[in-house]
Amino acid sequence: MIKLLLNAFLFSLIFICFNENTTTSSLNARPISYPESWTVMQQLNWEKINLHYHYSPNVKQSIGLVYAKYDDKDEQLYAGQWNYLLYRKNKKKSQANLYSKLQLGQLDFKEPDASYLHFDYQLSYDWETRKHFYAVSLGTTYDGPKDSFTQHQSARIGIAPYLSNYGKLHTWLMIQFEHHPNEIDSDNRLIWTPLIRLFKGDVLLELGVNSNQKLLINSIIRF
Amino acid sequence: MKNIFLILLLSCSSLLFAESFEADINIHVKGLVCDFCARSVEKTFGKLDSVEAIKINLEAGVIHLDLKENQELSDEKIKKLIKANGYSLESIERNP
Repeated sequence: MIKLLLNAFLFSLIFICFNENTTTSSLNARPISYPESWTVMQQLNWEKINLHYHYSPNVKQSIGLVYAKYDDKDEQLYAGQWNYLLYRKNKKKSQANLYSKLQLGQLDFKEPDASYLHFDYQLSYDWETRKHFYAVSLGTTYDGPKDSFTQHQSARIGIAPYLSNYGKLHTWLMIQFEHHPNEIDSDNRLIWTPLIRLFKGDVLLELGVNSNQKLLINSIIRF
Repeated sequence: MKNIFLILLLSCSSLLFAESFEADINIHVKGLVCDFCARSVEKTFGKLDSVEAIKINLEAGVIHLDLKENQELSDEKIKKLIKANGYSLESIERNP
């Protein structure tokens, strides 16, 4: 019953995302799940709606499929994504991770009708305690031959206003910064987004509004 | 009135149960900082036939395991499972 409600919630969110004329990009939270588990990650931002469905055979990697629809350009992306944990440092009160994220697929345009090779590579580092969260990501994208290579960087800082134990609702207040130096629209070159992260059990939900008044809705469900 | 009494009785018994959770094994772990981490170890240890109940204290970074009667779980097995979930084992305490 709970799983049914969660699925209904996820699909409602996706429906809202597709019908809101809003767009962006963001820092994925925990791109690899626990061994032998499946994850659905949804992102809505100033740039696109992104769905990522992946399987983690072990704690070191996840492999999955990505679908993205770019709001203002009528572009759609179909890709495979491989995430790999390059490094992890566990301490009594903290955890640090360095992830490699490789995306390879096809970007389809409607006007003019064309398809291009899509490649994206990101290195993401995060460090968190139960109270503080920091993350940074550096990436490069190739959508050839039209746009060739573009760069993107993002960072996040978060604080938990209260601490709760396992199974209770966890709340984070975060701020996300994105840098897209190759963006044509100067308003989108540097974006900051205050957001709230709500986290309980296998479900994570993030809501925010960016510096251009565009909505951010991210969610993760693991099962 | 009878219903209220039953609800109170059930609430008290659940509280008593929660307080009386006596772990057979306390596993001190490094890197256990969020609910996803806790969920991971709960699922892993929950699959074991020897485990009766699991309780996780995120603040202390401790996994409390209650074993079924006449069941055992070796240190080696615990170490292997903690590592497979991406965490670091600090120590294992066993209650007599």
